[in-house]
Amino acid sequence: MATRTTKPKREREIPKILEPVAEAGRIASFAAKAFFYAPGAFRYTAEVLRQTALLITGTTLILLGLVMIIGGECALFFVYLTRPLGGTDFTGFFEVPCGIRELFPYMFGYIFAAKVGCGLVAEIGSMRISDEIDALESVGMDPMRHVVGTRLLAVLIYVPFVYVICILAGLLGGWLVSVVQIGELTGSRYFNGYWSSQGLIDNAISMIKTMSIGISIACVGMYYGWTTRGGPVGVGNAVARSMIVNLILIHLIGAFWSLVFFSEGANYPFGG
Amino acid sequence: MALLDRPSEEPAELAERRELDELPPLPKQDPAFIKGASLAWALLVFTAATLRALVTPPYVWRGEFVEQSWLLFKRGSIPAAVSAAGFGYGAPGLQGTALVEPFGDINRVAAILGAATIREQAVWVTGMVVAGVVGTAITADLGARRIRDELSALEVMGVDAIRRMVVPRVLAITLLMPALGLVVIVAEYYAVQVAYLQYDGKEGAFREAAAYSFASIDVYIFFIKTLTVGFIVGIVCCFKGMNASGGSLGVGRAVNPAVVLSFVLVWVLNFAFNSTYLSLFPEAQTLR
Repeated sequence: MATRTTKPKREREIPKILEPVAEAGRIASFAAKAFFYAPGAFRYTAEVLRQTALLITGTTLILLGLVMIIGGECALFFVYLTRPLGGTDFTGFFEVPCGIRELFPYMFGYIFAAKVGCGLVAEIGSMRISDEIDALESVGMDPMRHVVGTRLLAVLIYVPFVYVICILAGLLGGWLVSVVQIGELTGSRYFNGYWSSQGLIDNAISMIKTMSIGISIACVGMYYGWTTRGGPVGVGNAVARSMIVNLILIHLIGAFWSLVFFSEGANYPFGG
Repeated sequence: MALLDRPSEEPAELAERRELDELPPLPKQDPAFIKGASLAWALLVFTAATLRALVTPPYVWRGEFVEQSWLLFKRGSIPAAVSAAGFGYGAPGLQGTALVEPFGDINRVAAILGAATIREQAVWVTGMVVAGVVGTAITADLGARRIRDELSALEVMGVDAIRRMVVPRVLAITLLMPALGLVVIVAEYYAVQVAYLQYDGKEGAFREAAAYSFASIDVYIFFIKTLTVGFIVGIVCCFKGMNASGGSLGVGRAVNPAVVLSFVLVWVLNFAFNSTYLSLFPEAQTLR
């Protein structure tokens, strides 16, 4: 970083019960700083594209596969729940509230946290403890731009494109389970129910949820990597701590957006 | 992330000399499926060794087991409760109540709660929290011991590391999973109730409908499923920690595949289990 005080600031004593609040504040200030430096990372366009390519080759397949499984879970649950009522024709409809609105963002968040969030902590933490970040500073490259900014931009580019494909994969998973595996309804009924009940607004809400989850995971991961100390053992501990924060954040962000968008009724295409 | 997946490349100078036969050729890399198969085989061998150490005397793991159980419960219970509250408020709570509202009786959301929470969501949410919070901590701990050669020191002294370190941890996670699952169910119950009260529901009616919605077979299956998931997560995380390698940066590299592998196994297992169970037990299908 450009400014560095020569005298270490005296840490104020924080009561132990307020420690999570202080940690949240530190993460938030790091995230704000990352966003402040991110536009400067456009001068390293090649590095941004390289990071995006590494994300695409390393993470996309597992994301698609697991979102497909959660789409299948939704269909499985709904088919067996409504079979006594004779309502299985609405399986395609149920993919919208179950999958698009709620579970696809959660699933994306889980796998993104496990694969990308942990990876960021391990990668940047390794750079930190082997003094590579200080080396960048000493040759006059701002590591906040070159290390943090480029990865943040890569995540911003990566998430929306892949999430759109993930929605389709989840739809396919529901089709595989309800039509192919159980054989409860025909494929045209399934897709008819799905396309007639989803709207642009559902996809937009889902995208908002996923983007905020993805960005917060990237920021948390980079914060814990950036502040790693204590040698090789410290990297492992930082990865473990980042997962705690990530898991709590995923659920709280999901609940927050649900509260914002759906507490005034859920805009289903039936009823009054 | 991806830096870790990158194969280590030789410097160009060395590669040139290798082409001129000045250096011995590199050992051949196995193809991916052979690597996967050998990983699966190593996991199976590790599982067998753990089970053998669990059932044969001397039972030296008892003290460590109690200590680890308490430590892991302390570490995992608050994240589990917070996660479940957030999850339960959004997915079954708001969406479920909105789903049954047009039919005129919002109390039916309690029926969705019984089927959805116990059969599906409690297992996922607990599995995610246990793998993400507790499993990573165990992998980091064991990996650090491996990197600092503490485990090799134990072997030199003639102490079986699997018996002393792995068995208590695997057992602690296995039993922790249903315990945290109960925490998750309680948290989700109250979270769904909050969403239900937003739709002008009555608290007593909700409690009554929820009491009817819990089927005993769902509860048995819930315990079997959580125990299985806990055992798998424990084995995977301990295996990756015990086999951490790659010098000083190996711990961080060990945690990442451990958590990814346990997440994937939790989901695949849950799906396979549910589709088998629901088609085998038709009495689980009735909507109460």
